[in-house]
Amino acid sequence: MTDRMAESLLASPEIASRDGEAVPWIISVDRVMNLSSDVVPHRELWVFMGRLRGLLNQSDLAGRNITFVLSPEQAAALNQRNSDPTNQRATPTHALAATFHSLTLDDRSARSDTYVCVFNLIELTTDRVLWEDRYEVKRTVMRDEWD
Amino acid sequence: MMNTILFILSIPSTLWLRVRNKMRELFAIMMLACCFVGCAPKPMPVTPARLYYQHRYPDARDALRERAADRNSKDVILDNLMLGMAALADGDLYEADAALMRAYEYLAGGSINPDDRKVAATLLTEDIKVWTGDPFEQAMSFYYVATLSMLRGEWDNARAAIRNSLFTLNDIGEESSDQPPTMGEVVRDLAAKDTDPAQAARPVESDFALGYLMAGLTETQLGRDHEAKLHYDKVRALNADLAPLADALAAKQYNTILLVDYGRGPIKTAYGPDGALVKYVPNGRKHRPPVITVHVNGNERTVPVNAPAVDLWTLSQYPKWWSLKSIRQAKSAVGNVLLLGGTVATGVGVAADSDETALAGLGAMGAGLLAKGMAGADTRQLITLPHCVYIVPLMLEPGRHDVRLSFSDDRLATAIWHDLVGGSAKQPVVYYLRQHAEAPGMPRWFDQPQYYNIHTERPTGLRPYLLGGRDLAVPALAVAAEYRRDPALDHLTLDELLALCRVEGIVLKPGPQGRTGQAGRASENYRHVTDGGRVLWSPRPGTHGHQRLTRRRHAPYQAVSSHLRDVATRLDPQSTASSRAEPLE
Repeated sequence: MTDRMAESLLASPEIASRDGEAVPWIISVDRVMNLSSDVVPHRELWVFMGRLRGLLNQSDLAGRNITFVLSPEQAAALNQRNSDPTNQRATPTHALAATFHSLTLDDRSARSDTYVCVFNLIELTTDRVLWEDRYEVKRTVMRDEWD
Repeated sequence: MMNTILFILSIPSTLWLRVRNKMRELFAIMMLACCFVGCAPKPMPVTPARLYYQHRYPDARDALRERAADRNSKDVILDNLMLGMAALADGDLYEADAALMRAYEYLAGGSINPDDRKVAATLLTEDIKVWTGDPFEQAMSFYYVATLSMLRGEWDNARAAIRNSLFTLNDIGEESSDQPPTMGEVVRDLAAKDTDPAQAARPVESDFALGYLMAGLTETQLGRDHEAKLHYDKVRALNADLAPLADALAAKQYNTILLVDYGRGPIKTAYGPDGALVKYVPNGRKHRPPVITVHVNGNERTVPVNAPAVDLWTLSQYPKWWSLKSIRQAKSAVGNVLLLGGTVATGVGVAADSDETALAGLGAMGAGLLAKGMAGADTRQLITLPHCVYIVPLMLEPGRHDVRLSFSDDRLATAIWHDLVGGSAKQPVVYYLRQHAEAPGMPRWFDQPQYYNIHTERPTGLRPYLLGGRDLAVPALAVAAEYRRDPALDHLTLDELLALCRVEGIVLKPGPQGRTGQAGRASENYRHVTDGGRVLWSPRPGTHGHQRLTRRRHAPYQAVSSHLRDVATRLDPQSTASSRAEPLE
């Protein structure tokens, strides 16, 4: 999933058209929200984002004048651990967010979940969505009778 | 009676011989059945549930941990839920997460009973079947998973969990004007109509107000006000007494949410022929749940809580909140029918001088007796469930607060929860408070802290518990700096504190400590150093763990390593003695 998303983001016109002379972007890997019908531990959700950030960093983003920073919460936690409240965080210009949705069909014999993960790149000064893509995966569980 | 005697006397002698042989076989079968039913009284064991209700959470968790890890156990869900609930009340979110998520996987995934167990359930007894609980127990299980997520501030996961609790119910039986039907009435009605319960069941929307309130709260916190409104509207329609609470939650008039589990849930009891039927005691619909009163720092707060979000004593009385129990009830009913039918067939065969008919009747009688003998109800239940649950929204000012909860007509349930800190409108703090009712009621805690950690106020001159002091804070830079204000400890750095822990074998958070199997589940990996374990950590306020650590007295720490003894010896003996913890009374 993250491979495809990284590929899609890098191929988007907004990113592909940038070069080293472009106005600098500071992208905060901002938010992962689970709006599916299943509990997904946050550490697992952040794994997706961490991997996506890693893949993007492996590409030539510096040559396009793009830098990634932590989310505000992660940055605050890091500062607290390092006991350095004076540490100033670079102000992000963009936010990369992911939201997990699901469509559940449920009856007594089976449950089928279609998960959709939607990624957005948002320009923070204008709230404009510069890029959006999604990834779908389906899962079916056959039930035994409970009663 | 006379007719029966005349009937027996009329049976021809040749048939009697065959009957006698058949009766011997039947007798053997009945003896076998008796073994399954079990007649001998058993001594009452110290169960995890008893430990739980005696506030001995670490003991209850120890008793459950090994059982909960057995994925082949028929009680795997039950044990994990009980372990998760005990850990939640005790403040160990690591173990609560591990246990509740194991149970959640089974309950939400739906694949529970492998085929072999299902066959066994059909042929032998339902007790072999993996426990999944009645629907109200399942709904409450999702409430605990949601609670865990809320305690962590994961509102999206709380939303996902609590939505699972709002499943469609199967309603059976006619409700009279005042009382829900008993299981006996439901079964009798089904037998009279010769209907299978699964066919008779009507799908109905859930009336689980607690689930709607929690769902509304999670949607509110995610900024999805439209979705939240749908849930709050449902609550208002279900129970007018809950409308003020729904209004307060919708208006975000809180920075702190108390989820209060009060008392002991209903007891599942077998009754009727062969104990094949079950009821939840206390039974009857008209329960009067207590009124909750909230004091913050000694001052009463007006809270919009006129009623509990759920009253399980009442909820458990309704057939739509029972599982269909089709196998057991069918077995019991078939047993009775076969027994009756077999007696008639034997009589008919004898009267018609037909050996085949009579023997078929005797066979049916045998099968009926066998089925009857094995049809005892499955009374396993999630015994740690509360009587009722209250959702209390509060607006707490900055700083630590003592929150006293009291309940009408139950003096022993009163307790003061110390060191609660409010959150913000955007990120409220949630506390899960387990209140025990009546005898033995709540534990007795000192009003003033006996020990300190990062959640309590921190007077000057604190010394670490390991060195004879009263501070149970987890080593950190700021903590070490506080210690160094004491001239006797002016050399104590964070590195040295951590080194002392290391040589003593002390770890800083509960869990398997990287070990697998039984070694990972060892009691010492989860128990605090004040309680025979090797974990030095700080359970969050609003839990029995925090109260026990800070508001009770503990025995002084017994050094394991010569290194720690040497360090302790170098300290001023006078000041050490004065700050040394008093022994447990």
